[in-house]
Amino acid sequence: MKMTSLNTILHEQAARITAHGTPIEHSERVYCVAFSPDGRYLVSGSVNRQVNIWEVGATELADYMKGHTKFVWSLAFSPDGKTLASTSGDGCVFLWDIQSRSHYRIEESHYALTLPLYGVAFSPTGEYFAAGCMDGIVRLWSTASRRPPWKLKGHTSEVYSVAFSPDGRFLASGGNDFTVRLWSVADKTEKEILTRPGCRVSCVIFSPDGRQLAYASTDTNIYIVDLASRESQILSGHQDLVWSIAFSPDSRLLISGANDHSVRLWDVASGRQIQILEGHQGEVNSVAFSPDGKLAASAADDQTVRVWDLSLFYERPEIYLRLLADQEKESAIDDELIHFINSHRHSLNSALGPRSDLETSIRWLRAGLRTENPPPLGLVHDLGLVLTAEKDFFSADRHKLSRYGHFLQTLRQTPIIRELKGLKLTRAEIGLLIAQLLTGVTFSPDFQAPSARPLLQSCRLLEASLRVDQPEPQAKTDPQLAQTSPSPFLNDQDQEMIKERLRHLNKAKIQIIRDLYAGPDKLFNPDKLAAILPLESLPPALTELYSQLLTITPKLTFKDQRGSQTYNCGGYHGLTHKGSLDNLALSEHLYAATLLQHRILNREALYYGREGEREKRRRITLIITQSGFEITGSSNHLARALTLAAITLLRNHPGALSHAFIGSSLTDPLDLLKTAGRQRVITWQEHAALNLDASLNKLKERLQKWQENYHQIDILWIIERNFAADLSRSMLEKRAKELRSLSRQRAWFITLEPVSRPPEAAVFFNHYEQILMYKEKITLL
Amino acid sequence: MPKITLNLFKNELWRRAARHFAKAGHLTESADAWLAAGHNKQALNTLLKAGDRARVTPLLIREKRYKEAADLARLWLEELSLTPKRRAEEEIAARLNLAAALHFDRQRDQAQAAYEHARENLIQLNSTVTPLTEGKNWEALAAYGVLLKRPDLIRLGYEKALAAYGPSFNLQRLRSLGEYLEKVEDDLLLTHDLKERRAAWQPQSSLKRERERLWQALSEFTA
Repeated sequence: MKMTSLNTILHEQAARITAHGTPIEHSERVYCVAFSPDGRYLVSGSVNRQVNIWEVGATELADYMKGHTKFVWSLAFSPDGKTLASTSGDGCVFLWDIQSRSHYRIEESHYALTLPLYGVAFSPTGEYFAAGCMDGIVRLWSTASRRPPWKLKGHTSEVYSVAFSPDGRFLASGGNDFTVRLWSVADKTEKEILTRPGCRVSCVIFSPDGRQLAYASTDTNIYIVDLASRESQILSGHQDLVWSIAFSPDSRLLISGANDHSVRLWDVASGRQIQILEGHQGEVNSVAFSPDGKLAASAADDQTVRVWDLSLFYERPEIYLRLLADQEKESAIDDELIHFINSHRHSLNSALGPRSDLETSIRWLRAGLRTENPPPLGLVHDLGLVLTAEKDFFSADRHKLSRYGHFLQTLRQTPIIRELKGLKLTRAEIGLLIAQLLTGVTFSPDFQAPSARPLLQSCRLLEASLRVDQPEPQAKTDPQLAQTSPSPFLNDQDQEMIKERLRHLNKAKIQIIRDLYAGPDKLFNPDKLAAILPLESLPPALTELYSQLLTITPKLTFKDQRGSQTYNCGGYHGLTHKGSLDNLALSEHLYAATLLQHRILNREALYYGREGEREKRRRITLIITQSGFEITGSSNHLARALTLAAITLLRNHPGALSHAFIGSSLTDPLDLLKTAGRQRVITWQEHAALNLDASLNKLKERLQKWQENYHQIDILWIIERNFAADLSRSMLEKRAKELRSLSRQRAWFITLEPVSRPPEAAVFFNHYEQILMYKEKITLL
Repeated sequence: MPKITLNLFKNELWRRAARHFAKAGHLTESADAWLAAGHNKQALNTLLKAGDRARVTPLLIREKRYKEAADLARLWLEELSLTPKRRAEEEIAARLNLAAALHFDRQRDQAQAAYEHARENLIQLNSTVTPLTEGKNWEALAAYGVLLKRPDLIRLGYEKALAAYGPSFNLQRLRSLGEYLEKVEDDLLLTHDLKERRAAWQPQSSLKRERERLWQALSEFTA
């Protein structure tokens, strides 16, 4: 684009002043930069406490001046260019004589200035100079007398910047209290306050023609206030705090530097951004225009000062105008697209209407496809046919097939296709399979519009490609395809990739999706489906993680099943096997009178196990799985797979089985013996940080409620090794005690690398195991 | 040339580059060159000279010079309190580095206090700062996680940073993602996921974007 080429021109002309050959201390962040009034020198101040002097045009340091004991924050030349004022974190103002390099230090002990001084400025006549201070007071000195300053009090917080109006009558100051204050220099009083709540003022300046006052704000905007009408204009574009602004000498341009590493040029009249000057690799702290306006300088945290050649704007004004026009064009593109869609709505509808299957194809794609460019709809359609058609639709004579047809036929002959028939896949599941086959495939540029083509033409091309009525299959009836070699849609490599993927697909993998999702068409939800998709697009070594875990389930046992003997039936079983008398209750009332008589006569047991069906129902096992940002990637998948494994393990245990996720909160427990519960184990997504305290509180309340209904509560935690590591020791112990008093706790800690010391959260649990997952091996410690 | 000789040759070149950079006063570049040559101590000394506290403190911790690291972090915090730019991210980084240094120096209570202070700052500041600063703050937490080998903090820090940057700060998001990838290379699933995200976030040509927009419109229209 034109913008890029102009950017390049500007960048080529931009010279970078480096610290080549200078004393070692120079490698530090640069906080301020200023041009001398004659345009010969550029000065910079940095964290290394010295003021550097550069000759404009040269890239080597001309000289440097030392004196400050902390960072140099701001610099200002007197109008005659003989004196340079600098302020610093050490709370001193230095007045440097540029010729002799000597300095006059306004002693901090004299004025008890122990707080840092920030922005400094000279009045246009050089009679005064002023500085803002951390204590919220603007200090105004007489240059000649250098007597104790006038203190302009009004700001309630730090004053970051000060500026004199071009006629010297007013002084503006801005700071941390969201205000810009105008002071009369003659009588040293406050004249006006401009307030914008929420906007800390980082820099304030007057335009050289005296008509406008501009200030930069920490809300990323720049505000230009017309001093006659008090109307303000907002310049938006920066993406982070704007820390410095400067007007060009003719007041036409404004330059700004911000924490987003960019320097931007603005057209003051229209308020439009003309150019982004990129190059800095750190926050930009200061910007300045040269006196002739043809150069601009910027200082940044990347330890560089950059000088930008802007003479182009003055020598070739047509470029300036073109840049402005380009900005307008950018915004017009969107309007053009919207107009096109609206005006062609009818024809698009007719193009898509006759083929109802296209709609299905689009639904499939939307459900699962994550390719960069959408594939040709005809291809999706044909793949759908390959996977689902009842009969072979290809010609028996292979020689009559095009390459594309041959490719489809090869796919059709893959063994898995036969098994698919028996599975009776839903459309959603077929959509997933197609998405799986096509993920990452790049399509032939024939399908894509050449980049040179204008937007409208490319839209028409797409429209035309959608209009092409592609019969089923394409190869059979499309003579063009039969002649084309290679296929217009897929190159050989992609064809091989698709074949390979189909070959690696097996019934077990499809079954995992079906089991976990168990979604008939009526539950079709593309979002849920997309959440399952990662299961199928895992790296090969991990694709079968879940199935592996389900196979190792028997290894995951509960070793501490003490006193958990249950009775399947009463009577003989309770008495004669493992029951004890304590657990038994007289139960003659449970029997019908005739049966009781029969039992007594036959000397059979009259006792019934206390833990009958009713008792079994009074037990509950709660599985808690960690979710959220702290447990992403392998750990997250492992946690979910372990949860599934635990469900399989505990399915036949007596009592209820419930599951909750712990993350920013504790989710409501869901019955795992129902399909929806198992589905949620896979599909639940939480993009929030762990809020342990709130979650544990919620759990405590839940357990207290459950105590009324359940006499035994077991909790199995499946959590990251560092779970609870950020709780303070006392809090950890308190919580652990509470939880242990309410239920029996055990944990599976997930860890990606072996660590010998026990996890911080181990105190919570009666028993714990660490489960190590290293690469593709799953090991139980 | 055998691989081992090549490596020696490469390291020698880095060492020479480091010396030249230092001679010219480019201390940061010099330190980078020392690091590339595998000379951590020299890199550390160079960065100390340059006063780059953000990089020196973690290096000191890695070199097990915990007391020095803690002192430097304290000095860093003191200076930050005077700087007019509220460098929230640096302040948080300084506190986290202090916490890490104290943690390894077995001053666990003080370390916990410093860490909690940093976390509090992080949460408070993040409600007021721009997404860019918020992202940097979370990255500081991730860097702390790297020092302490806490994968949960690494993930939390980077995931939050990526979320904070969002599409509006795509360059920063991609840079952060690159760093994230380096730190979690052992986690195959996460690496796979991150690579997919990177592919999706790579800037596309304007034409591609327009095509995508049109496709989206078509899909919605037909659905």
